[in-house]
Amino acid sequence: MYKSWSVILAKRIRSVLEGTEADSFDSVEEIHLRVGKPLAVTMKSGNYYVSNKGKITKKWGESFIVKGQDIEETLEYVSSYSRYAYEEEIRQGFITIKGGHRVGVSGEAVVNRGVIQGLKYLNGLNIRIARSIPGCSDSFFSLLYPGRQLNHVAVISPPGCGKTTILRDLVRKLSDGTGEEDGYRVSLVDERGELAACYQGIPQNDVGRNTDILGSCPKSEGMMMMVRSLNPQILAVDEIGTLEDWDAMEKVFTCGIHLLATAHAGTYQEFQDKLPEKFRGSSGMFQRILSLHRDGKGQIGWEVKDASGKEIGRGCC
Amino acid sequence: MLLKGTGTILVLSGCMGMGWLSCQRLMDRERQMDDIQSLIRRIQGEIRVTESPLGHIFFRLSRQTDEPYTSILKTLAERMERQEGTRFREMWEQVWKEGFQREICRDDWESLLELGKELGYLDVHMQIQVLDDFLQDWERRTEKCRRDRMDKQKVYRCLGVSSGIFLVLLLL
Repeated sequence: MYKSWSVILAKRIRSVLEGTEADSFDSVEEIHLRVGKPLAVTMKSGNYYVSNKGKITKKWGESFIVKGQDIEETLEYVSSYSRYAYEEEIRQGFITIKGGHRVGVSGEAVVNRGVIQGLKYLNGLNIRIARSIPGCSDSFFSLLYPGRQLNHVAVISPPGCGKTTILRDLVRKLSDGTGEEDGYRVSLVDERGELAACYQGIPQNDVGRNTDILGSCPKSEGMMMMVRSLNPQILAVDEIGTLEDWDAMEKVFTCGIHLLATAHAGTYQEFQDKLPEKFRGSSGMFQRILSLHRDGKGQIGWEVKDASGKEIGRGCC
Repeated sequence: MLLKGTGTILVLSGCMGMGWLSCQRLMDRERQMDDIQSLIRRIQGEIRVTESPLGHIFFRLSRQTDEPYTSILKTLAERMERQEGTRFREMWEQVWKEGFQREICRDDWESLLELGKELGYLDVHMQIQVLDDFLQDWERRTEKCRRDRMDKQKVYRCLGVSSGIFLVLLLL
């Protein structure tokens, strides 16, 4: 895992990390490169710095200081030596690299008539390490799709509870099927590239054998494109919420295609309040709603409810 | 008599051959200038139309060019794919130095190597502009090379023949 992302770092940074035990970086979630600041990492247990000897430490005084040339060199590797080919990604603020890792870019925005044209004076890169958790949806899959019956499913939670990770696993399971049953044709609208994490068109995350992916496309348009051209049985989309999204979903719904979507909502009731009137309640769109939440120890708990709001099951991931 | 005749022929052939070889080198130089111009133009075209990363462009073009450019482009594409942590400008220079038997003059060679510093880090518009500037400069250099070749070819041929005759007379 360490090797898949360390190759994109500037030589100066790599040479500091080369002296470290590779497994000390196994639980690193993010690496932060900021001009003139210590090289920092985020782990589950908090934020740390990297010393000049490559050790992960809380003490920033002896830490390795990132220079502007390190950012520039790292971006050269991240963009496959072709920054012009990633203009759109840089405009959106991140680039997906091999392995599905995402590199966020910070700097000064170049704005023209209210539209961001690009970034200049880059001052930071944030490398988010991708980690899939195959099987994370095993405990509630049969509640969402009892007897392989296809339902319209919504996955809801506040930020940081693993909606995207769980959506990815659900897509994979539906697409691959089980040993005895065939998979379904799944179309995945991956607007922000977080689900499939395509690198030069090739998905870096496993989203299933029978999944068609449309990346970097606005959700509402992407949904209609996939319905028109790819004949899906299930259409999966992340973070719905705008009026255009709901309109597109209604059209998908009327085509007889089953929906699998995520949305930001702290509770079941909050989600119901966000839904357009006609989609609420027992005659509404979603037959199953999976709610996720973090408990006090940081573990993720889940609840599955049916269309009427009755709880079907609960547990921990 | 026979010996003198044979010697005359050999000396004349040798000198004319040297003249011919010098002409050939000038032609090789001009051909390399033309080939490189064509190659850079194609790279520019690919960037303009496809906006693909350089590695993809090099790999694609390696299948459409002849040696030594095929090997140069393929090596560049492979090294970029490997992500070995070398800056592009260093990679460009190393691959060209290792894979190219140059006939072009030092100045032109250095201009080609300098191009590595200009590739990949700009936006599309600026990238195409930079390559435009390079191609315009290269066109000027190629034209100079062509004029040189036309002037020098005649001189080398004449020198070849006249030096041959001179040597024959000297030896006789």
